[in-house]
Amino acid sequence: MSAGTLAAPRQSGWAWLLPAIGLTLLLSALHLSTGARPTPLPVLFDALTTFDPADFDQRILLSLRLPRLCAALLSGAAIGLAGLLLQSLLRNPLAEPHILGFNAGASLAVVIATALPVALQPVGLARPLLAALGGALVFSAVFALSSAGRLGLTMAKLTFCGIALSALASALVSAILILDQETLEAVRFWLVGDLAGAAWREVNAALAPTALAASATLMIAPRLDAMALGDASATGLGVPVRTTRLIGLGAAALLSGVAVSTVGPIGFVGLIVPGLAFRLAGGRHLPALALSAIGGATLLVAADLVARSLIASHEIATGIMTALVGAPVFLAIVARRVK
Amino acid sequence: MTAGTKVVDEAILEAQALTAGYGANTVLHDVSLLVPEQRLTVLAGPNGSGKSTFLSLLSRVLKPTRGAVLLDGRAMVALPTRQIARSLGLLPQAPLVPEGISVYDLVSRGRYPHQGLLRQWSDADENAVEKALAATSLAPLAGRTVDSLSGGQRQRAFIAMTLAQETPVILLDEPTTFLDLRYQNEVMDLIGSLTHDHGRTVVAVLHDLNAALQYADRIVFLKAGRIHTVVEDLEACTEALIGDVFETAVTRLTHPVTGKPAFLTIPSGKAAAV
Amino acid sequence: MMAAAYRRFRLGPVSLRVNARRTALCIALALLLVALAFAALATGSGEAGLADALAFLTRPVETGHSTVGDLRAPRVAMALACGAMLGLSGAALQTLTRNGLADPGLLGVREGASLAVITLMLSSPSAPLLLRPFAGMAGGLIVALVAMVIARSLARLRFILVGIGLSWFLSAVISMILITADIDSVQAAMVWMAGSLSGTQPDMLPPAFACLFVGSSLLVLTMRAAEISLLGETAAIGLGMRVVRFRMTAIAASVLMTAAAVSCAGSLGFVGLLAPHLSRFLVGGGQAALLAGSAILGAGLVLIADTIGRTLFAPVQIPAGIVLSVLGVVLLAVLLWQRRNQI
Repeated sequence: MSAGTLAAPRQSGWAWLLPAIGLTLLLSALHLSTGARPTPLPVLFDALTTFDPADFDQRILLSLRLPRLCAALLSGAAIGLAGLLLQSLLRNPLAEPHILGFNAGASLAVVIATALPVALQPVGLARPLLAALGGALVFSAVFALSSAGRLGLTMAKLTFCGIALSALASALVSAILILDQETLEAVRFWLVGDLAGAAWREVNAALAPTALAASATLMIAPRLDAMALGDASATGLGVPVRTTRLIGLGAAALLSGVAVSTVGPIGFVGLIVPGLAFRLAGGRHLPALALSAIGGATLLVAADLVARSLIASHEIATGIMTALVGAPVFLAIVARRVK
Repeated sequence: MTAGTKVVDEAILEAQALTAGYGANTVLHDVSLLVPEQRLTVLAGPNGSGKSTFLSLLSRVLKPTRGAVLLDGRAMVALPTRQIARSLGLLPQAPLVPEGISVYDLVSRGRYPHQGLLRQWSDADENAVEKALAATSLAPLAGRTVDSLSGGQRQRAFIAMTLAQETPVILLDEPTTFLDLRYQNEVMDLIGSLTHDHGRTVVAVLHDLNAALQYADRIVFLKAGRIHTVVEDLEACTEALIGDVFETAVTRLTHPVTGKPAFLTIPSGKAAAV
Repeated sequence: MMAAAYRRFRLGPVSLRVNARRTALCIALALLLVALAFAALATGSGEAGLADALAFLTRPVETGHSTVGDLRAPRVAMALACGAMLGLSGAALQTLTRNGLADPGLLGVREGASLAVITLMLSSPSAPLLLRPFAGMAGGLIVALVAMVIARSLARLRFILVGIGLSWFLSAVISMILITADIDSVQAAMVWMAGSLSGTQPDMLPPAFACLFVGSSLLVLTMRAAEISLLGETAAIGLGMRVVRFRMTAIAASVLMTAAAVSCAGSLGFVGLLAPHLSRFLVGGGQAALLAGSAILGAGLVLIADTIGRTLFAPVQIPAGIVLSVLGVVLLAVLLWQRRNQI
């Protein structure tokens, strides 16, 4: 094999990186300028370079729209990464945080936290961590239940158990909300995946856990290529399979917990983006992870943009938007790849 | 085309110029066959020769693209499926076992074509089930669940179900393929007895050539979707014939106990020595 | 001898084989259900108690307007009807798909029915209540048809996953409609959607019981074919069963009953999933026992959930759907654990 042959696939994945980043910047600019008071681009530049507190337009940008954009970018990237990790580690094209129970568990944790008396409520960093814990717990139950039995872990069982336990977690959430009017008021919009409530506080809280999870992901990225060949083959190649899987799932839990606590449970982004990213990256995990993160960020920003501007007088929750597009994608994957 | 065949002028089951396939693939080409009564006819051949497809056509599970299958002289496509089920029983390759079902209940499922919404269980039904259980020596196990039986016993239970259907014709699709060696014998003995002791007409797809040679009255060799040879006199099974059908060198022996022919393959290095 | 557990029952042209133990069990369960219904009539946040319940049952005309007669009786009756329908749907679907985890709610039928009813409620708020079950059934049938077309096969896992995808999609559509419609209609729609029997009107009872009757008749007629279908498609054809006709009937009955139940009482989850399993656990047996058991246990589950919902945190009423889901946590986990080798 010549160096030329080896070099070719490696380039194709990273080659998409620049266009992807470009697309993200473009959409971000659009996102910032859309809203009840459309803000033209020049104002945008001014706000970012020379901030004038007296300018009303600039204040809207920096205190309302910029945090929302940052929340979307951060959460989208987190979901994209989590989705790719899950699909790769579980070898299941239908794996994503929403279907597997991470989102439902995280929502339940956040709702319980919100329902607690004010003195006990978690603040700052504790919220995303708690959400991640909730997601991890539900997913552990899903994983345990679907691994049990003679046939072990199959695509079918995993998906089923994920859906069933998610439904149960959602039911518990509904039960709490019915009994506690205050909590209902507090989380009503957030629960359908609404970015309107995302402020700087949430974004700041999300930074550290995301960085941690991203580093962990970076660390195991090279091993993922080997693991795609199967547990037995990977072990033969010297990859510590169980540890890698544990780290990867932990990172996925952390990432989806962060996303849920920042913007609420958003589904399907983690389903659509990883498959595409993986294919564009030519099957190698390192570029795929980068593309997945950027792709997730882009998709969420785009979805948020559409959700805000689609129907003139109403803001549709972004979570609804992603479901409207994501469910058909799910159907397409099932129709083609599930026997 | 046919070697050592007796002339069969009237057959209960007949295939006429069958052509069939799945989707765009044609698996069987222009296959015609008369199935003689009260004999065990075995369909044999390599994988992909179309033997299972042929059986599916004979049992109306699959519809031919050309040609017809006649049951008692009448085209099967013109007959209601329940009526066919009273004349023709089928044991498929991997039937599912309903959870927790008892042997007795499984065998009684075979009475379905004879029952109706009101007439759900008659004396005839009960007699048929008991006769089937006796014939397969499963009477002492009637109360056990099918899940708890051995492979051979389970297969016997399914054969009993087909027996209880009380059809003159029984079709079996690879009845011994997934069984341990010891169970293969007991099931083949049972299948052999279906013609001699119970007067049924049996067509079976068998993967094991030597088992076919031990029990069959008639062997239909299929290759690449066509009938290669129909053999009634086992002496006509020569090394050349078998070698041609299965595309491998074989050597013929005579079974020391039964006197019937048996064939062994020859490892490639040793071919010259024979 | 081997048929010791069975008794033959003959009367004229009818000859049946009946399992004595299971029949007795089913009758016992039915009696238990009746007792539960009576207890439900006698319990509640109002002051009506045992005596009033008795009075209502024995002299319904005289005691006309009372808590028991006006509020509880229709509610209890509706709970029984919807529960039975959901239990039967689940049993039919699980037999049809040969999958113990199948639940009519997974097919998107609930969302389809909900969408149809919500559209009706929002577009013509003054439309008679009686239209709802029909709208719901139409919606449910359309969704089931779409699922069948996309999945191209009924007995496989794919069918269920397609149903799940459809239910997500339709949920999103419903959410979108609720967001964009005006607030008062939305309020009513949301209450109904949570799976609540609190809005039960006596007018809705005849259509509900009619659907129950039609659906259960269809299932009884195809009872024996259902048992044969469990042997696998090829064996079933070999036994002379009309496979396509059976599948269509079973799906139609399942979808119609689920949609009817949803239209009358909103979204009640897990009944279709749990009732057949409970029936198999308590009664066992073939399709006849499964159908009877699922109907009775389904009715019981919904009745218990509704009664708990309206009495536990009184005066706050928790919709039966929520209580069912919470109850479902334990039951489903046990279920999945038990069946871990099968799926």
